[in-house]
Amino acid sequence: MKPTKKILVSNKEKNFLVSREAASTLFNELNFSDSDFELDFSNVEFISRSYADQFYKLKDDLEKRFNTKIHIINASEEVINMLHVVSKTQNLNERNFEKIPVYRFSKMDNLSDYLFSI
Amino acid sequence: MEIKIPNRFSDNFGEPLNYIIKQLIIINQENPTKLIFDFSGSKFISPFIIGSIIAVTNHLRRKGKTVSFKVDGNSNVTNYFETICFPNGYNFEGLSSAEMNAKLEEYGLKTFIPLVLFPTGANQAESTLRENVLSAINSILKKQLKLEGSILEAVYYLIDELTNNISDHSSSEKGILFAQFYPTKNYMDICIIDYGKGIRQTYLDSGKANPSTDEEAIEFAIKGKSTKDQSISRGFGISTSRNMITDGLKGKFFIYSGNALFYQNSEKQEIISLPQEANYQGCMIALRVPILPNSQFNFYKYTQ
Repeated sequence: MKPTKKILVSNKEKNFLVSREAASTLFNELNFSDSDFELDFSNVEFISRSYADQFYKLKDDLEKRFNTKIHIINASEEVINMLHVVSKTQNLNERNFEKIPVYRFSKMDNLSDYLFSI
Repeated sequence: MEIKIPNRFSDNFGEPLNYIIKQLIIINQENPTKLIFDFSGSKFISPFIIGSIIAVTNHLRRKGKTVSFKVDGNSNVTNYFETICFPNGYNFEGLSSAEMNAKLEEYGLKTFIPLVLFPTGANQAESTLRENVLSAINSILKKQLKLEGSILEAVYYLIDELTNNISDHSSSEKGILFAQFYPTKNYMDICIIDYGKGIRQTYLDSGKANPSTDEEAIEFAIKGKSTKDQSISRGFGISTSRNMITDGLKGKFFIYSGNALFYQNSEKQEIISLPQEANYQGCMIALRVPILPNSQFNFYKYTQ
């Protein structure tokens, strides 16, 4: 099993991630050959549809190419919902395979917020 | 160690589930030799709480721990526990199918079923008892829900498939079934839980799959990856059940095993990876099933 590196997606409080480039930049900075990753969305308040789409495509592609695992942690309900929306608009074959997103929370309060939202 | 059960839980589906996970974290961290569940201040107790407390109690007792229940003169809870047969479940031993139906007839006028701890063995005696018990429970539900046709069939199907999973896979001493119908809110909450080896260990023991994490094991289960030799089309029964309940009936489906949980409604489905200390060794399924006449729902569309 590979070691897991934790990456903070944004250092700023209440950050808004809106461009495809921001998603590409995030993944370009990671070295996938020697570890799995946890992408920590703690400070992210909003992601645009474009960001989410690019994020989803790159994550999926890199996981397959490098046989690596990329976990999303501490995402807000809004971020989760946007990633869910774009997952439904990917190509038909992949939709048929029904990809299920995996989320993780490092604080119990965030997990509680999630559970109260379901 | 004492765990105080709150006065009441709201309608929120996730509230009791959040409570259960929080308490499991505390139990796992403190690893108490004696545990008391304190119901003395409780009024309305979610069926998810009832089911999970029984499962945790039986699991801890198997490990030699002492678990007890405190009600302190709370007559509401005492009467309720007596009626639902908490904590040992309704005693079905030695009853024929006809006798069960007769004895359980009074539950047809209530909004809950008795607590059922069903046997999981594959031998003829236990299989027959299990079948008779579930048949009697179905009779109660038919009277309570006052429904015919597809939705009633769906409730039967869900309980049958998900309790069979426990018998087929869990290696749990008993399976636990409890359900509460909320007529004014038009839904039913169903808890089906075991204290066996969990989904991941089931796959590992089968030799048919090698999930490296609990989240991967849950993903296998919800996609219907079989642990059985003879058939690739048979899965855990979970894949058909979750689609029936969420897509067909617009209900909610929740499953929790090891360090992972899965949630699905008609809009979304997600796996949540939990912290190590939230580990639940068995498997818990919580369902919220809308009980409304629904002419659009086609039961057979969702069966395999």
